[in-house]
Amino acid sequence: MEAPYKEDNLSDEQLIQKITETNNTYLFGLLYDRYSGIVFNKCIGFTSSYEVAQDLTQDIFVKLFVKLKSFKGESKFSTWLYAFSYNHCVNFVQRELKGDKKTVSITENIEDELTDEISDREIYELKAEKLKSALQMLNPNDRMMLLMKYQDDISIKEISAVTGLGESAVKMRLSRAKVNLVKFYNDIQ
Amino acid sequence: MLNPFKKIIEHQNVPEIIRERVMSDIRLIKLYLDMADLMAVKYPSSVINLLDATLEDKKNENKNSDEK
Repeated sequence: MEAPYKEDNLSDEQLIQKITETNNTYLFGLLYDRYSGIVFNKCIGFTSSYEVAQDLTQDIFVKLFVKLKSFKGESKFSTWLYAFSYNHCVNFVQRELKGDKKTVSITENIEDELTDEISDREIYELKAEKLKSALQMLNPNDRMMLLMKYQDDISIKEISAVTGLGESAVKMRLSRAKVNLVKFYNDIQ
Repeated sequence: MLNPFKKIIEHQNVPEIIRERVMSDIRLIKLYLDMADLMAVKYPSSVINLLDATLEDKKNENKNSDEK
């Protein structure tokens, strides 16, 4: 199908406006082309599975087509999409854990033992390979918080906006997530 | 000091088949939305307009026959 608009130069926000007004599948294809690589790689990072990431990417973009109207422009579209994708991944992992009759209570026990704050410096000193393994052991919500903050460089304020949590709640969750991460990291031989 | 979170970012290409599946799914969703719009909004609105027009015609016919 030929392009009905000179849309390649459109900003994300303009493109989204046109998609929501017209439900044009060609324009949605352009949005897919801009972000599918990033979303796919986030899904691989989140689940550590290439095959699962393919299914998740497909589901995320189909859901995105239906939910695109709920993007109100309060944050950058990329930030909103990252949170949207992570939320989908978190729900998927939680469903899988339920199906496997596994629980994530181990992290709750760790949370009870929280005492010291982990600094960003300590986080930056972690080794990448061990970090990758430790992240997979984390509660998916903690994983999402840490990836948004340290991988996507999303500010506390923006995380608060896209998750609907208060800024102090975001800080608290990040702090807990860091402690849990370091605990798992140190447990890896 | 390099942030280790940046080192674990994946750089894989998305298989082309995913694009085809997504576009096929959203075309189907769009069809459902259009069908729902047709049946729930456009069709009832057309029927109402048709009935209004028919009633109006009948009124005019009656008016004309009374005048004769």
